[in-house]
Amino acid sequence: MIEVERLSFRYPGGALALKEVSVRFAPGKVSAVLGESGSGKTTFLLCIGRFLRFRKGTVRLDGADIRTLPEREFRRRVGIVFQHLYLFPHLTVLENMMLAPVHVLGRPGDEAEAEARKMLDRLDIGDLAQSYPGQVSGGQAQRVAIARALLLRPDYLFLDEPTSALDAKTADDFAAWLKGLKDTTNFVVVTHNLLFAESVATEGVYLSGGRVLDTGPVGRIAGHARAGKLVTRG
Amino acid sequence: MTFGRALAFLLRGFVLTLLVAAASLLLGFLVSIPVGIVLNLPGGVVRLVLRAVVDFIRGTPILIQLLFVYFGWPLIPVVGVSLSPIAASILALTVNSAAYMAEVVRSGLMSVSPGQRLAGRALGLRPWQVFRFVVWPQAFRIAMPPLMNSVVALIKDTALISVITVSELIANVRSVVSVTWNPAYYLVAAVLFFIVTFPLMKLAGRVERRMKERGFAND
Repeated sequence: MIEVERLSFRYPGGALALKEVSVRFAPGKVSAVLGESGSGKTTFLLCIGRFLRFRKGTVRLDGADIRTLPEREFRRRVGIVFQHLYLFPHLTVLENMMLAPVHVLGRPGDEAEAEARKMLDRLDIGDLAQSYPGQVSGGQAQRVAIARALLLRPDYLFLDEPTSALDAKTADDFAAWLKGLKDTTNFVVVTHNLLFAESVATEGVYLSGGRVLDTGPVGRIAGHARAGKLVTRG
Repeated sequence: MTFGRALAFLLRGFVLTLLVAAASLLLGFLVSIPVGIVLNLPGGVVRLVLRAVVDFIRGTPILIQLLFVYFGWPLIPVVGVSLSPIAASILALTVNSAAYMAEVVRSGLMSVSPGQRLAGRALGLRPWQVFRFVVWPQAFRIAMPPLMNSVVALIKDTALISVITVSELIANVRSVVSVTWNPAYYLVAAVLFFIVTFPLMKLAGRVERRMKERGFAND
């Protein structure tokens, strides 16, 4: 369980980006964090991922304050796939996949390679092993980035705007693919794509102006988001 | 003097030229990595000092630097050291090439997207592992073509060490021409330089092409 309590964050010299955000991500569910651009979604993700140091509020991972967890333990348990994926362009897909298992988990190279190939095959992208990230499509790169994160077997995997580089058809395929993985990892999808959120998630959080406006079933939350869009556009 | 004997004499000088260039390049490259890293850091006294030194070296003629190290430095009280012509040449060329290559390393490191570091950290890599396995390999590939330009420039600059009495290619070709009265030997010396520098220039182009083929892009 990830519990966020009264989390606030202000960028140096800037406005308050998160205001007393409280939310829980229970295991066994795919959750979605919804909100418009500038609503604080990415700041929220960076705080939970320990990339931004917050002073107010707490984030607990199975009861432990994440700020007290050793870096490696935290990174192994909580994975993040960023919006721009950040696959390492100088390494092949297979090498991208093996880097963390070898250098973080200390797995022997041949064992890490076998695991990486098995994961790629399981995710139907085995033929990409020797390709470079610059040689694969946006949808394939998305899968590779998630596969790379999954090899650390995280308890939670946060996906930041996973459909931003995908067309509608690829996003649908990706949603179906992601749902097939939810039994092994708890996903939290941070997105402004309401259709995608509704198709993969069961629970939702609606962020607006750095505040949580509602949490609950994703259908209801998406409804708020749609209403919010209408108000904003009107 | 026969052509064969003259060519052998020129080649002996050229071997020395290349040895001095190779030693300077190796040392200069090793120095340029930490300097380039520091130049990439935000603020700090060390960075400011290194910035000033690098700018000064790049903004002054290498000939002056060479003459200073050989003739000027020994005359400075307390810190002055008298060096052999070859040692003075290697020192001056090392400092000069390090300054240029540090700038290339700095810009290479800057070209690597901050997101790459973030992704490395998200995977649990330690900061030095992020540098070693993620940042440096990309920065080096990006820096490779301009680094090759620095290498070619330094090899050509090595011709200047003849002014501090090193018997390298240029000193030897001047001796040959003064004996034979045949200025065509200057062209022979130029061809010798070109035989070494041309493949290096081609290599830089090949590295660039290979990066493009692999779709190498910093996202």
